[in-house]
Amino acid sequence: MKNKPILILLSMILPLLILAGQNPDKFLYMNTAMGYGHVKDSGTSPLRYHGLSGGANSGYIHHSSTHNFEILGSVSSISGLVQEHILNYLSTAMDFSYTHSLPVNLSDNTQLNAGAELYTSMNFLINPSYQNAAFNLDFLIKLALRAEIQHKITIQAQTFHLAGIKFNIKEQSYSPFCRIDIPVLIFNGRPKYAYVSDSDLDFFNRHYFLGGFDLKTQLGIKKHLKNGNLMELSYIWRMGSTGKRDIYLFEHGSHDLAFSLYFKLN
Amino acid sequence: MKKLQLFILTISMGVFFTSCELAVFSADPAETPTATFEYLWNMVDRQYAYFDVKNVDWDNIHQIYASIIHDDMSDDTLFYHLARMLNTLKDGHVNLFSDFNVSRFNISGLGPQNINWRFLKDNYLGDDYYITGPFSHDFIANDQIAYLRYASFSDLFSSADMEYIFNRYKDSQGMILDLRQNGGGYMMNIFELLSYFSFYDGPIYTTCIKSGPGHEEFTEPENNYIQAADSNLHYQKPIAVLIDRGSYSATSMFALSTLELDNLFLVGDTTGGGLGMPNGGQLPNGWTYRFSITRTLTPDGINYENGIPPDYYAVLDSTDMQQGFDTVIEKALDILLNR
Repeated sequence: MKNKPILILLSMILPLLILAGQNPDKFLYMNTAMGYGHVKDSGTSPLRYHGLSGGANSGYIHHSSTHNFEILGSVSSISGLVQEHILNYLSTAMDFSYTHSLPVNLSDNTQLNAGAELYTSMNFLINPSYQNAAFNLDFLIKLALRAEIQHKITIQAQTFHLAGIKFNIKEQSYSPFCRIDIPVLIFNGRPKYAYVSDSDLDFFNRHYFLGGFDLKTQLGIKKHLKNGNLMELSYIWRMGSTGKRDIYLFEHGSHDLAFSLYFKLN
Repeated sequence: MKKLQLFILTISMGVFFTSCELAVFSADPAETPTATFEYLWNMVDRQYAYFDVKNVDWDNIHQIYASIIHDDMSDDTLFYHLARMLNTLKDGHVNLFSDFNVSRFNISGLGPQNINWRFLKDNYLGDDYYITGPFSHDFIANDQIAYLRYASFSDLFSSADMEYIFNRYKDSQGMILDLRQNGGGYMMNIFELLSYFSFYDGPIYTTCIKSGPGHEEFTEPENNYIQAADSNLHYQKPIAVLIDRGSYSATSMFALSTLELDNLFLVGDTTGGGLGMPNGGQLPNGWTYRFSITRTLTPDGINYENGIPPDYYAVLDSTDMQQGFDTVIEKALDILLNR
């Protein structure tokens, strides 16, 4: 079909044109998080390493009344300790998501969004106690369904007196929300049977397979500022496992408290 | 009321999913002596690369130690028995590490100590020998032969080091490269050092990695190559490589590689072996271990894990030493000067 390349190109450009024409809010997003995490990599140890987790991410968020679009880059880590052995799990990731507002009339100020997320990460597992297995590299590409519910609360301006002192509270807006990313398809690249990179450190000589799960939920509240920026405090829970198709099971989980800033760009 | 119900539902979902974590993840193992023993025995059974040459009935070993180890055992006693179990493999790359001890098999004890560095300095090098990078070196045998001592493949050297050495000895009739009691180190130094001794561009050994739990499940052999160094200086004259039972790991691999090169030959005692790459892991009680999970063979497929034999056998003789002679060096000199 001669016009096939043009159709493919249009299908890629058209959503962007639609997005551009909607007068959305555009934000520069920055986030930092800290909490508790755990990692277990059965290829090197039967033990679960517990310790501190943390991370940061940054990116672009495009928000309108009908849809949201996000591009984020992140780094995160979990550092665990067993006796005198320290394990560090470092992850660098890119996150792309698109959600559309669902036509469900819950209330005037409630928005229910659903869509998809594409998440790709490169993960490093480092534990000097493991000799030639001290350093390992995993790959992960995840396609997930994303659902989010958000409700806007406006506290009207009010004045009250306490012990003879007059207090004026300005009008404030908050948006509590809950978001969940449910994995649909996960492509993994994990170490092979001997669990060691060869002498040339061929990082791409991996065991590749589809499977496992990587679930993420976020509960939080956004505060709307007068200048259009947002502040957000949230609890993020993430858990993942490479599942039965992996040669050696890898599991991780983290519970983080995150603080985010949205800087309005338009 | 509708809004309140909605948010209660939202919060409940969050709590529910958080609680799921414990139910979904695999259980942590027991930290008992018997669980630790079973785990270690199984890991060795599934991943150790050299059962074929070690003449060890690993199933029988399990029977023996399963009857000895019990959950009331102290850490010290457990360590003692697990170390003895691992030492049945007679492999210097097999170790158990605890916070109070490290198990090891004394490979160099399989043969006599074949070098006495003080003796060498007193009778061959004197006090004014050179130290260039990690190499101790000087002329011996009436300035006819270059002697180089390289004590560890963990010691790095530069092309400038090699160029100085080769320049100094360019008129020598041959070289002695003394690798006795060199316990190994970085594999990259094997390729680097060999690249200066030959213009050979080709495979020097092959590697197979464990690919499954069976004792003979390995990947297809993969060739490892050297490439001649870019330097204008290559030492092309005969080189006697001195070895003994303490020549282990990377040193053994260096000795194995010389089999493919015409101008290098081995003098001394059989090397200690240790051609496999040791990989590490952890036990349920937190101790760590390592053992070989790769198999290194000649390009023709010969397995020298129990040691590379010398081309010319020689060990230190006390009578020779009383007369001021290092038997192994004298053997090397005899060959180099009479070729």
